[in-house]
Amino acid sequence: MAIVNSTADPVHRKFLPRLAGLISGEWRYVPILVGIMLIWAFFGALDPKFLSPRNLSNLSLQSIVTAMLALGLVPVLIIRQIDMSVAAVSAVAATIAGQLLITQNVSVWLAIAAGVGSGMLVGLVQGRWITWTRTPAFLVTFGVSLVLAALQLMLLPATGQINLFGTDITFLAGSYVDKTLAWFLAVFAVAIFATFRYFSVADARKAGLSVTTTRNALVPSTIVAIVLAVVIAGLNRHNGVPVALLILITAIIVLSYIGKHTRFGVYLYATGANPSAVVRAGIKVDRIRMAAFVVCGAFAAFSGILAASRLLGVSAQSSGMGTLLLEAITAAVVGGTSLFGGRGSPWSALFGALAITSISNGIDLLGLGTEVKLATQGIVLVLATSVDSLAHRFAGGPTED
Amino acid sequence: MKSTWKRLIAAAAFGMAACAAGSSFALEPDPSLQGTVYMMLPNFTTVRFVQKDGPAFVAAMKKYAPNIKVEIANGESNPAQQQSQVDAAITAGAKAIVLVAADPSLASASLFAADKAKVPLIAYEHEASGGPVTYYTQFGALKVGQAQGKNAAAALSQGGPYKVARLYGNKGDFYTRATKEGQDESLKPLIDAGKISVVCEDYVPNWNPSDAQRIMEQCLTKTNGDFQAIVASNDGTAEGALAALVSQGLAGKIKILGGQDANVTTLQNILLGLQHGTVLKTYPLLADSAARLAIAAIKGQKPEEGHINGEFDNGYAKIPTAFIDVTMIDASNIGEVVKAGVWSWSDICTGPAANTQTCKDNAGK
Repeated sequence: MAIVNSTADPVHRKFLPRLAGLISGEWRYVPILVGIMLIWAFFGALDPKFLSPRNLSNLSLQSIVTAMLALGLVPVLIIRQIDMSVAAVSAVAATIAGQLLITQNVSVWLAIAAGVGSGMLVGLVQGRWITWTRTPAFLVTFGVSLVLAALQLMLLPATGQINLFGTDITFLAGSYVDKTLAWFLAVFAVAIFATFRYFSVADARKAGLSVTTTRNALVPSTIVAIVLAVVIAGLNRHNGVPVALLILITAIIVLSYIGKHTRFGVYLYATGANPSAVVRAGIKVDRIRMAAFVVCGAFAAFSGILAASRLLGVSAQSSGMGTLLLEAITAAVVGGTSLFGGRGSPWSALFGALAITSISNGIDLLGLGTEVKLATQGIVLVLATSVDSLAHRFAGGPTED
Repeated sequence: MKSTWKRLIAAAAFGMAACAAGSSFALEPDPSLQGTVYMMLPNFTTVRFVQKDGPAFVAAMKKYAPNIKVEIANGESNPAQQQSQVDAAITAGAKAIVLVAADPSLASASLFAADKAKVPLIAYEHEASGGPVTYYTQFGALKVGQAQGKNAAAALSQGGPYKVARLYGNKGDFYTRATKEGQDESLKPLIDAGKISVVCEDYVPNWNPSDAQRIMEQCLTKTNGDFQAIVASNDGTAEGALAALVSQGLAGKIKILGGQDANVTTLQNILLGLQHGTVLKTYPLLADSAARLAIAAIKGQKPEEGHINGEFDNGYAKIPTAFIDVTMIDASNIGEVVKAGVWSWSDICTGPAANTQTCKDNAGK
């Protein structure tokens, strides 16, 4: 039946693989961005307050912890591994930073550095163990997460809680970029982006590729400028751009650059797509893998510190518990990073986290309750990941099983 | 399910009428008692069980039966693991088992195992259900809810009408339902009379403070910050709600009522005027009750007169229960927490709270 249809309808047959090819390649953010727009349109229609500057500010802050955790997971997922310890790492790092701040009176920068450092150390140990013993990362990191949960209980004070109200660390999640400075930074970012695109177009031309300045530099730069303008104008109408959001976006840009334009980045993707080829090329694949786990540990730790700064405290109950781990993995995957290695990008963490947080944000705003939230998040997860897999299949790429 | 619930309310009401002052009776130490009593803790995440209830139970047993050994096991949130720990305790010849169920609805196998081996089993705090239990001892969610409701109603009795946001516990829990029911005893009449209108209400998944924060941020968006009070069902969710208020610059402007557990962070927030009060559960009283009930059961005697002050229908039978009183704490009587041996002044007076007058007055105590 399917064969008859496709031969009878050659336009249709051509269209689908072409669209699928775009979605699994150049347009890979289109499904998730369309998804976010649909979610926003849906909740905005039910309650216009959803699209108010105040709620967009809420939404950005509510997404950041998950996005930061997902961002760390991206390099690990790209090399076809998983890190089940990220939520536990975030809890331990927050505990270390909080304890140093409260009981040792160290400066807030040292506390943050110690927390992030502990995350990197966990990443390094896990990465080394996994590459040395060849044990599946799933098991090793899950075991480590239990050890870390125990460690957090030992590190917490006898009261079981660290109260961060009124301490310096609350600036991380509680402060905003000066409104004029935000515009200045935006102009600067667009200028850098446009210059960068222009030179890469020039390079591509030299290499004989068919690119035009309009299509490959001017249009993308204009889109970036418009998006930034809308976001900043919206957030500035409330408190401004949260500092935490600025940190997240900067981290994403840096990781994107590393992923696309450095040798390490190329090896990283290659390790996930075809590990044996990378080994044959004489690249020390274990080092690439360890580095991915270290990056993951650093971002997991920072996300825990951000969460503590936002909640004004650390406890065994609030930190790293519950659905945080699964939410972070979901965010990365919904955003377009494959669980099967080789494909994905740092932006997927932001877009995925934004999509799933928008759902809980909207449902909480409408007061629809936990049942609706769970069901909606589940459906969106299945749909979003299926779009990616189907696009991959129709584009004629290798299937992931 | 619903009928069990109604019977429970009746039982608890009966319990309160019967007065709960029973545990103040003196009990003479009995050195003739020998053997081992096991205390089964549910998890490591609810810090109070490991850090407060366990040690308090050991101390109480030492007082009343100096020659009985107390072993503590932890089920690590895993009902299956707890079941094997109960089996192991029975095999080892336990004189009695004090069980804080890892999952109250999945404890029935443990209850039947102890019953079959004729080992007395005291169900502690969590409502282990679906099997024979010798005694329950608990603070009781209904009592906690009643204290919260009464206090919130008092705080909102002057002036008004008031707009209020309500945060409940994890949806579907027995404990959440009972707490809400207790609050409603005082709040429902005010709501019906139009003195209070509820502008937002929601259940907080797993009582998670981060979820409470997000829910409250959304409530602030929905109402444009136009409400006067939040009634939170425990301290963790109250702390999450406070974080939402802080990020919107509304801390101290919107009252936070309710609360339970006397978390140190919450006590500090109370001292700083950011939260109104909390329900204190004096853990040593509960541990003391468990020790008395265990000893009575080992001796094969009835507990002292008045100690059992109600019954709890756990779906298998109506079990004699000791409901232990709770205390409402606010800025004026925060010293009760220290007196009860739950926290010390040096625990409470850290960070910004250390500069409050109460902390200065009690420095070095």
